[in-house]
Amino acid sequence: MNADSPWIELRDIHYTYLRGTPLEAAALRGVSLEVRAGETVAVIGPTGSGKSTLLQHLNGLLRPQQGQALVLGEDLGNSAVDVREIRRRVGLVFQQPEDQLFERYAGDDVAFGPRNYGLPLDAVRERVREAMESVGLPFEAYKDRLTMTLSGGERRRLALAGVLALEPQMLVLDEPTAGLDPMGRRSLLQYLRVWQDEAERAIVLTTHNMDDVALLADRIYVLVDGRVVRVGPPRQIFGDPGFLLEHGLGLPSATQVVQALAGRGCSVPVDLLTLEEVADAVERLAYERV
Amino acid sequence: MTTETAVPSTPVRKIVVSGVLGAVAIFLGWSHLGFIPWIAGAALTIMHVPVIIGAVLEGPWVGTAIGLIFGLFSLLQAVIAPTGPVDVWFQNPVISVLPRLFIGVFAWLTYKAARRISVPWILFMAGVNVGIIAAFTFSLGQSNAAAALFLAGIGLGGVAALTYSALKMEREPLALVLAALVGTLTNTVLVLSAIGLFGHLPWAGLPAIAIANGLPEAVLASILTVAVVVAWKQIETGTRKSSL
Amino acid sequence: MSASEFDLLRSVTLGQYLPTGSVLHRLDPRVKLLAGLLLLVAVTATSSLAGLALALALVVGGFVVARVPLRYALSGIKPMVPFLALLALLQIVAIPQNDLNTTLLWRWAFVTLTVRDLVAAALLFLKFAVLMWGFSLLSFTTTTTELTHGTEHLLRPLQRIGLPAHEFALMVNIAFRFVPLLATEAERLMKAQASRGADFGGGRRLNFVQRMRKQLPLLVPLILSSLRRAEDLILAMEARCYTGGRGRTHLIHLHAERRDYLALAGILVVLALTVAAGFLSADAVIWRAIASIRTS
Repeated sequence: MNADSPWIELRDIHYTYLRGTPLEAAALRGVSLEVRAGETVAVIGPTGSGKSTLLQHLNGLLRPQQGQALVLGEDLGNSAVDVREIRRRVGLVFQQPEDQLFERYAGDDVAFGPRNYGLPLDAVRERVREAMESVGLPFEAYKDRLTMTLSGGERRRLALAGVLALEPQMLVLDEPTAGLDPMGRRSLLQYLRVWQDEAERAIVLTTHNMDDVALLADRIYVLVDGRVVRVGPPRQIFGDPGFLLEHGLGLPSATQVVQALAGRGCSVPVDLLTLEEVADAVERLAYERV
Repeated sequence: MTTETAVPSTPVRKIVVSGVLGAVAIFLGWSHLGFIPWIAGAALTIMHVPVIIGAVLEGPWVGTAIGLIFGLFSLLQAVIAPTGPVDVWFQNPVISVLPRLFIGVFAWLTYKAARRISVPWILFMAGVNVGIIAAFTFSLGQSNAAAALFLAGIGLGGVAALTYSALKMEREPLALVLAALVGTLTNTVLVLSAIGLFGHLPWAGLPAIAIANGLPEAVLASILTVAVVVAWKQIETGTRKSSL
Repeated sequence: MSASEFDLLRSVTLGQYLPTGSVLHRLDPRVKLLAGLLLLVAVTATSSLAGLALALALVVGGFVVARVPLRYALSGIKPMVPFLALLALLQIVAIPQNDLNTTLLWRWAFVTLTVRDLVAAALLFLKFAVLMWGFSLLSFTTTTTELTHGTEHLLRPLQRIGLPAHEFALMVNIAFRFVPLLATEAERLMKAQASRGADFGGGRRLNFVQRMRKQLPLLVPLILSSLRRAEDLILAMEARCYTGGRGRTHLIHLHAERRDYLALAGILVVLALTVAAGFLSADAVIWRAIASIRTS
């Protein structure tokens, strides 16, 4: 894999659950996706569109029934691939990851990952320390806390730390901010941003929260019914709100405001991503009128 | 120090917890996750652990109810979808259902006693508990002196081991371990006794099976019981620190 | 070919519900439950291959009427086959049929294979198979809600002698609904922990305690999340003022219609014949009939 090739290349992936039984359900019908170093890619789509299935192809939990999945240079269709190594380099964080916590003490749970890969105790300790610090849970203060006594937001960050402790190159997150209060959401996104900027890393995430997408994503894949119906940068995707609404998807707050303004005859450009940009644009309009 | 909020045990609570933990027992059996592979192709089962957890958390009635669900399920599985020769015996409800009704009660009694009384008394009562069950059931058949002595020797050895760990452990986890031990041994002893009663296996061989199978299962049950209950009740245990 | 390493429930047909909307789906669940019970009794009581063939025909006919794909339905027996084969083998080898009234087919060392042996083995195999398929037919055509309502109705007479039928039925209903949830949750947990490098397979050199510890990352969160869901359910029920079964009225009343009685009667007849075939030595009669046709 040379320095320029994408870290992830999914070509025409098909996947059907319970194939061959009367209960079979097609989840992916020919999906292609690319992720490059340094990118943040968001996959959006209505519930049941196949987002989680897609994510599970990125670290070898699911192997493509049809099509090709190239992850960090390895072809996942080849059963000889060292899947455990892939899973270390591509860290997958499930929805509600705090449900997977099982150790009595917080530090031990974060250490679970590094221990599984056979690292010696001091290396484990260092990894856990770094991982916990990077999610805002200071090591000395939190490592001996009882896992179940932490708040919901703390436990989610702990679960994230558990994946970060493996020092992955990529993070794949399934609805990372679902169920968090606004402050929790903001700090989690902040931690993700910081993590990505530290080194050459990539992030793939699915979410229903379009503001998250507007904030973080470099490119967006719109997945409907197991197929990619549109790809592009946020300004392009959110610049066509009709398309998104047609497929039952939400809009970022900025776009909603723009639409409301347009409805009252105030035409502000549609491809604005944050409320700050909208405020600026409205201000400009006001000056122009004057 | 344990932190416990006193939640009143209403009928709804009893029914729901019984149903949910009963579902866990069923699931462990149905998916074979409840079978921990052991030597020579045999497996140790932990499907009775939800019974113990239910008894410890909610009391003897819930424990009995979950035991009933567990027993009925193993009966159903033996009748409709057997996968091994032992299943044929379990088609008899006296073997598959009746013994399971007692797991919860004995586990609960042990747990309650262990939390209040001093350590030597705990050990004595646990030993008496198990001893009573064993003596009663094995005397129904032709128990032989060798087996009885062997049992006593194991019993004393077990008491010694428990004393040692009792001195190191906090009260609550120790109570859980004992509850799990007694609950598992109740299951093993009563089921084996029923099997002996119907003549499927000779009485002389039963004590050996009870120990060879029951004790390891009891160890596994206590590991799981402690892990779950301690987390659920947010209890501090002896070490107080993570291993880092 | 890529079967997911986490597919726990792939070839488990028992417990699966297939909504094909057939007439069997619309039968009163009490009829289906009673039919299941009758099947159990009949299959256990019969000693005739011909009778079992009748019961088998009943079940297969049921699959057809219910519009269940036959190959899928019959595949449910796959997990049982090794055991049943072993049992049949044991039957042949270990249990001598000391009936002089049988033809010796084969002899090798101490093993004697007679026609009786084959018949006994076939009986054993068929009994288990018919039961398995019969109960999977029941689960294909009946939702868990219907099953619970049906069981509760059938057990209601017991309430008069003090047994808490309603509470028990509710408990079982809750358990039934939770099992599929547990399966989904378990799969999710296995995948999540595997993504952190967990290895749920067994190594050869592990003792049983170590193997148990390997399962803890799956079992502990599973049970904890079950307990959490239980708390939610308790809250939801109490918020709706559930206070137990005494004096509780029912929204759904099961009304048996004529087709239910007819179905039950039909099943009863077939299964009665199944048992009767054993007593009337139907096998011997048919055997002789076939023999006489051959010689004539």
